[in-house]
Amino acid sequence: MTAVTAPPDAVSAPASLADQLLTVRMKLSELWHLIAIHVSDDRSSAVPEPLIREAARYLSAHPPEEWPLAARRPGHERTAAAAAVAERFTDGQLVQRIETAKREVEYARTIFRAVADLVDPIDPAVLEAEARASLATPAGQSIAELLAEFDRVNGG
Amino acid sequence: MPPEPFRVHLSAAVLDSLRAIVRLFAALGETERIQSDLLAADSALRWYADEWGESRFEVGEIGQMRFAQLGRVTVWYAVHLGRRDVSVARFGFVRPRA
Repeated sequence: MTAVTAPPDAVSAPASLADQLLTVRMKLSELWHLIAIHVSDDRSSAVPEPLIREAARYLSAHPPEEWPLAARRPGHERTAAAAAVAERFTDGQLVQRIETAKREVEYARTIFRAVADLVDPIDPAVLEAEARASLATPAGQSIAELLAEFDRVNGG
Repeated sequence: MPPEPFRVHLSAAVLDSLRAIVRLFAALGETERIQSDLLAADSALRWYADEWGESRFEVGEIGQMRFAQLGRVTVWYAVHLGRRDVSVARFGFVRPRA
């Protein structure tokens, strides 16, 4: 069995204001990315036009790729991103921006849930049963192993 | 002290669906793209499962059901923070543009 080790840049450190702002903005970006998936889905005709317009307005203000996922990770990229943010703003401005971003996250969360429930209605009982089936499965093939198997079979 | 990774549990049905997704993207000539997305999703599940994506509802003792997306890959999974268990319910994908 392959030993699982932490990423080399995984560290725990108290979050600075710039870090906090990055984290909240990451969540905001991620939520709008999720919304983008749903409103671009073929089934989005289920979503009322005003909600689509609202999503489009926010998506143009918050490009999904604005804060890449990698920046969430502790380490060099995260440190550099946080340093750049800290250089641009005073502590007071950072606090203000964190609060604003938190409110935007809550708003995006509301939109996401509304859109997701319309476009991709889910049955919680079915999802729960599927998750329980996985939990009951003894540790087996990992995603990386599955991909390696695919490469072997297909000569990749 | 480095964080402890989550244990990622995958049922036979989930593994079969993953193979189907990889075959589909391979047929479209996007093997590298889907493999890269799946490896990144695997990493997110192992290291950031409790904050990746968006929580949707609680599922009793198996934890919190979340929906997440990375590149072309979408995933529904339950995460139990205390036990560090991730139980994948299903993988999906964002349709490639025609």
